[in-house]
Amino acid sequence: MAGSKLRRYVGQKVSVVRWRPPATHYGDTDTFLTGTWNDPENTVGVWRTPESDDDPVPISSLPHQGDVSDIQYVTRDSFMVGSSTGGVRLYRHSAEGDLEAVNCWDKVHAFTTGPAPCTSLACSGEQIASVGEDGKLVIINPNQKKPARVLEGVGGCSLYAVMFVRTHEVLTSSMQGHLKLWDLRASQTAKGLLFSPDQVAVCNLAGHPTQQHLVAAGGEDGTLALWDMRNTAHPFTIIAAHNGPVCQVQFHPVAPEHLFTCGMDGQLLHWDASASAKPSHLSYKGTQDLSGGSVTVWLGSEVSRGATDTTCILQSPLPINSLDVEGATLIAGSDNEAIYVLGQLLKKRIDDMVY
Amino acid sequence: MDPSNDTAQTWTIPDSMMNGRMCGKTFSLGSIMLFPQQEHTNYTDMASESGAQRTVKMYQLEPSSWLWGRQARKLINESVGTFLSLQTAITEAEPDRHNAVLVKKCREYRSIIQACQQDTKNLQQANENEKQNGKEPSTQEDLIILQDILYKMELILSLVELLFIDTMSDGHLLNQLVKWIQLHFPQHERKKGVVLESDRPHLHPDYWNTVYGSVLQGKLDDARLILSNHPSADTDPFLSIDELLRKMPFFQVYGGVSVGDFEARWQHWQSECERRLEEGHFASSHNLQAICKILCGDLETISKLMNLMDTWYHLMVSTLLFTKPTVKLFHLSNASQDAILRMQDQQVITALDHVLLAAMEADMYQVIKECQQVMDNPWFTTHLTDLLYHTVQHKGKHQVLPPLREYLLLDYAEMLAGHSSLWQVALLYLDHCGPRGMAMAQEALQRLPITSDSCAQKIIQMASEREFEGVVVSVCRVMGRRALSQGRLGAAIWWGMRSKDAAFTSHVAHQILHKYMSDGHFESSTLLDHLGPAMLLSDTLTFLGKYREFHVMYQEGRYEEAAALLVSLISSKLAPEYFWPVLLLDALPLLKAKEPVISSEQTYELMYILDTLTNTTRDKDQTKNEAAHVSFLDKEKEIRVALTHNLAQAIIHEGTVEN
Repeated sequence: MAGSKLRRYVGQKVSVVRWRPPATHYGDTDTFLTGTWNDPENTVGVWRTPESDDDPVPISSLPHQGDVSDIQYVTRDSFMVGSSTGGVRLYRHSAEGDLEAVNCWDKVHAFTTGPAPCTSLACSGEQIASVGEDGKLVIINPNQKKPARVLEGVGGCSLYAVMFVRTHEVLTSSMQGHLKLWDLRASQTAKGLLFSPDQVAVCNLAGHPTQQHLVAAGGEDGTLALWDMRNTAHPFTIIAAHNGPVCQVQFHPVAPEHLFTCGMDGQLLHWDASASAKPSHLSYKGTQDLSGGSVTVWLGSEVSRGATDTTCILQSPLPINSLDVEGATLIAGSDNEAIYVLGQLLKKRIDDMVY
Repeated sequence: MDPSNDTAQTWTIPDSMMNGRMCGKTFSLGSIMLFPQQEHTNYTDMASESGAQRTVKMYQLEPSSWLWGRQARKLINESVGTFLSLQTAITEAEPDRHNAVLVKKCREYRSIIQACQQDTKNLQQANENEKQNGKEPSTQEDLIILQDILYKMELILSLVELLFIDTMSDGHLLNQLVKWIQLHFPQHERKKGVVLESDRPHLHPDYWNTVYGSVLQGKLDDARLILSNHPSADTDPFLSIDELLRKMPFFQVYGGVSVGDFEARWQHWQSECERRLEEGHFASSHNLQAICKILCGDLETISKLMNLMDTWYHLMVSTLLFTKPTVKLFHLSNASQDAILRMQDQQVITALDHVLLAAMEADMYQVIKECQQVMDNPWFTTHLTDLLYHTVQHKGKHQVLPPLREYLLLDYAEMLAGHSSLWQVALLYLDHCGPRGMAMAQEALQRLPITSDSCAQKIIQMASEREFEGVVVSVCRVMGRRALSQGRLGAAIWWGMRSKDAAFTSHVAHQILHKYMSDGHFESSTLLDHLGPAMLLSDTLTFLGKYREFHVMYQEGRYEEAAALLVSLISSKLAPEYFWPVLLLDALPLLKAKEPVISSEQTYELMYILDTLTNTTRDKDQTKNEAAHVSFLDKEKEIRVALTHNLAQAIIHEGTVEN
């Protein structure tokens, strides 16, 4: 699937890129955020991609204390930024296109000897979950000054990724390869899963947009595992994906047979399972369930045999830290101090979808 | 370093505390930490001095360069991409395709510099427009300096490209030299636009200068265009000059015309110009006469127009254009000397001129050497040397260029490695520097500050890609020690296991055991439950894993298995000595069970252990304060009773079974 590929050097190592959510459910978005790391003056920047195939244009930026470890949007205009100093901040897009700080929670994560980096954020409605290297899961309400709940892990192992499975269930992954499902109503671990017997750290989690029980996890040895939360004895599939730790995993929000992973070996892979998708018998126009029938293709037998169409759509000499995909455009940020914008990714698929 | 060396630079630290007692220490790669050395004072004086206590500051000095500025930094990453693709393309291409590859890469470097120039110019103009916002003048100055540096680099690089790298034209350089001049001296282009747009071009003060300038740069069509705007453009002299301008022959390498033929044609054309001049075609206008004299190659006329050509190389090319169109590389050295002589009153020879002169002399080493003196950091020189190295590599004659290239690459990479953010780029360069590069890469990786887990993982990733096992072990140990000091034993074990570091893992396992003895519970039970094959990394870890297994079995009620495991743990001496009391205490409930779960053999083992323990503790008497040990001493009698009781029961039980 040919598409346009743009690369723009920005002079700082980019650790996170995030699309701003589109104004309407099926609309397009042209604004994205970048967060940088390992620089004496880290920034959170706002960029816009112009209509033509030109380089993205910087609009504004805000200095940031410590490295930016994650950015997640809470609403269309406000977003949370996690920092390596252990704090979490809430910002908002102002009407002029600038950023303004709304609220901040400092020292959310701390070791006994000092601040601990916050590693990942997740949002669901009015709740924001934050995990850090001190092994704590902290639930924050954007309107309150203090964190709502602090759930301690045991053993002091760092937590690397967090995501909401349902509105009250949170899944966290740790450096030992344990995935823990927390039920926020019950204040104790609901279930614990094991990624693999070799204590492989799980670096990132992604949830399927429509099938809530399907979770994809990227590991430190470069493997990608697909879990079915209804059957948690062992992962459904483990695929050897990258030559280094997987930095980010993401399903395409509208076409979930497409999965994207990026890793520290500098590759960005596109996993296309649509070839083995069963045809949908509900094919009238206007349907929202576009993933093809009631059984998602990722849990089918073809995928476990490895029959996905994998393409490496980006190769960089240094790690690619983050990716985000919205509509037909994918953005990625790398340690090569570059932002990549790849357009018209799923041309065929998007054309098939009729609104 | 000779103290009387004039080129040494001095910086003064503006801090009175430093007077007379400044002390410094180098750390990382190239940074220096400065601090005032505290004198010895008696304690009695301290009280009186405390009132006048001032804050003591430490200063960190780092080498800085224009390359670290926001705009110039993009050059670094863009050029590393081109550098890497050049190395792979050269190794993969066949020998006769080398030149095409090199030209392409050279043009990529030039376009990188040009893009940076464009960005800087845009930024500078944007800053100019926003002057009211109180922009510091220093940033404007920096931008201007940067533009200057970029211009010089692009000038040198394009000249090197056409003289050394691009050999397609078989040595006939004039066309390319003319294009080079046209690219770098665009002022006539601008003026032409201005002149043509004005109401009556021929009355514009710059009119004739623009015509002369265009002719001197070889842009004859432009000159004709401007001349056609003259009201008397259809008079004889104008038509005549127009014809001459139109008919000037230009040499095309693949034009199908041989060199001799071209020379003949050119001579014919120039003699036509001379004839018309002598016959007085242009007597009416001295401007047109001047143009014709230029076309005839009259050095005097060309020299008179020196103010239109700012530099000697422009003068040189313009002269060559009208005197010697078939110039080759070896002519250039004479021509350049000539031009400098003619222009010597009007200019000062700068370092840039030295570089260009060296290029004209076709002396590659001199070019590199001069470049090193002009630029204050090795970015440009390194990439230039790399290009030249690949150009001459297949000829195999040069002895000096390979080690020079390696030296420059190492120098540049070292500078990058000292930067807090660009160390990854440094490693990419060090891959191509041979064994010294490997050694430096290992040293650099071990000295990087590790700020978070993901940073550590990136360092480990780069080290594993290059198979630096020692670095991986070392980084994991640092992270493990850090975790230990924060009390996160589970994380410490994980780092130990990650690098398969037996010594460190044993150490952490001992820590966990001590903690268990003092606290009574296991901190990272989930980790220990799922150790798997990694358990075999170290004996202590194995023991720890098995001990957890024992706990689990006990809690599940599988007493016989638990007992067997416990005894095997004790008898195999896997357990460290200080832990035996705990194990014996654990064995106590099993000994007191209704049914004998511990056989007589096992009981003998336990008794032996107990005896050894009591003997050693009587002798040593050290760990009195450990809770487990204290409770052990209390229960020693109880254990003895239980052991003997169990022994009796077991013998009876075993005896009965036999019968």
